[in-house]
Amino acid sequence: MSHLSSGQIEAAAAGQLPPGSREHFARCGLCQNRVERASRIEGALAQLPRESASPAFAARIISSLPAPTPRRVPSRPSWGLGLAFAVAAVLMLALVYQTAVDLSANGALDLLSMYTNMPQIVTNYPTEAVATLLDTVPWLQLLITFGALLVAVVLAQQFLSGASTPNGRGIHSRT
Amino acid sequence: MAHEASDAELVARYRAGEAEAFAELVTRYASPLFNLTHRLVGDRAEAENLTQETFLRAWNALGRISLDQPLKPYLMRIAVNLCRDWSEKNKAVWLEPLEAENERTVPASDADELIDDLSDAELAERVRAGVEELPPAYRAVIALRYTEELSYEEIAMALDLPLNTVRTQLRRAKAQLGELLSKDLEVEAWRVNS
Repeated sequence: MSHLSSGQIEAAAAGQLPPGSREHFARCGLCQNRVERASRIEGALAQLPRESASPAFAARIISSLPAPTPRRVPSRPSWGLGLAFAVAAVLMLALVYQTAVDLSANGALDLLSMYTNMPQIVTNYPTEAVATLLDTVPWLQLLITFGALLVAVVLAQQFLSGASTPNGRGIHSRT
Repeated sequence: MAHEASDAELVARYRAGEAEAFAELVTRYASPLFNLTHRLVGDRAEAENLTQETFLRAWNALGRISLDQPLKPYLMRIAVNLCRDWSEKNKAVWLEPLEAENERTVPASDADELIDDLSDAELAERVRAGVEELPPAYRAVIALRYTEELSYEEIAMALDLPLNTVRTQLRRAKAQLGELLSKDLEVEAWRVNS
């Protein structure tokens, strides 16, 4: 019967002698010596020295890494801001409504309708047509309404996005 | 006892914005990676450079890797690839051409008895020296198996090789190591006797 192959010797050294080889192994001093030798080499391999990096090595690696990108941490939405937006929105809607009512009461909407249906008035009397229309518009009220709209929009934007600040944390900086 | 965070926990914390988590990974793996790269390239300064580069590449890729995969083989793979590139650049042979796989019966050799006569300490020293003479690819698989104590599956992940190929490479590495040991001992015995 032939001796153990290199693979069988390795398996035997790891404690896994193939079943078909056991009878031969039990009687063969040569194969037993080879398995013993392989086991010793396995043991020597397990004792291979581990090279250790210098203690400062890890710190040097860490300091060489690029600084992390600051992460913007959004704050929780301010409920005071939300309340201010709600108030501004209600005020704006009220102003828009009142402005529309006043425009109608002053006749501005009627004038616009007339100019649309009878464009010859505007073409024949442009200055008078425009002046008459301008007289019917409540300018101050319109300005206040527009201002309220702007305030509501700004408050809405601030409330939804929230104020954010960089977290500013980093483990190191490049030298 | 304070709970030591797993690699997956540290990666998750790093992704959540905790930069110190990556520093902890560096502290954990600086020596193992240095040990591997030093064994493969044989130069301390170069090994430190390659280890640093390994961490830099891992740092760039940490946002993408899967937390299901073990981190150690992943880091080892980066290091091995860098060492392979370094070897090719420096015209070192990574692995000698593989011969056809032959399960052969080992012929008897007088040097075998010389190995048997060595003490454990002498054998350990000769094995250490012999490993240094192996091709880098064999040194890699031996280092990953015996020094870093990776499983065959983890070595396969680290070297990006099929599992059977890892077993074959390890077997061949040890066979070549045995031949080196025998040859050295035979030469020494001849010198003593002549």
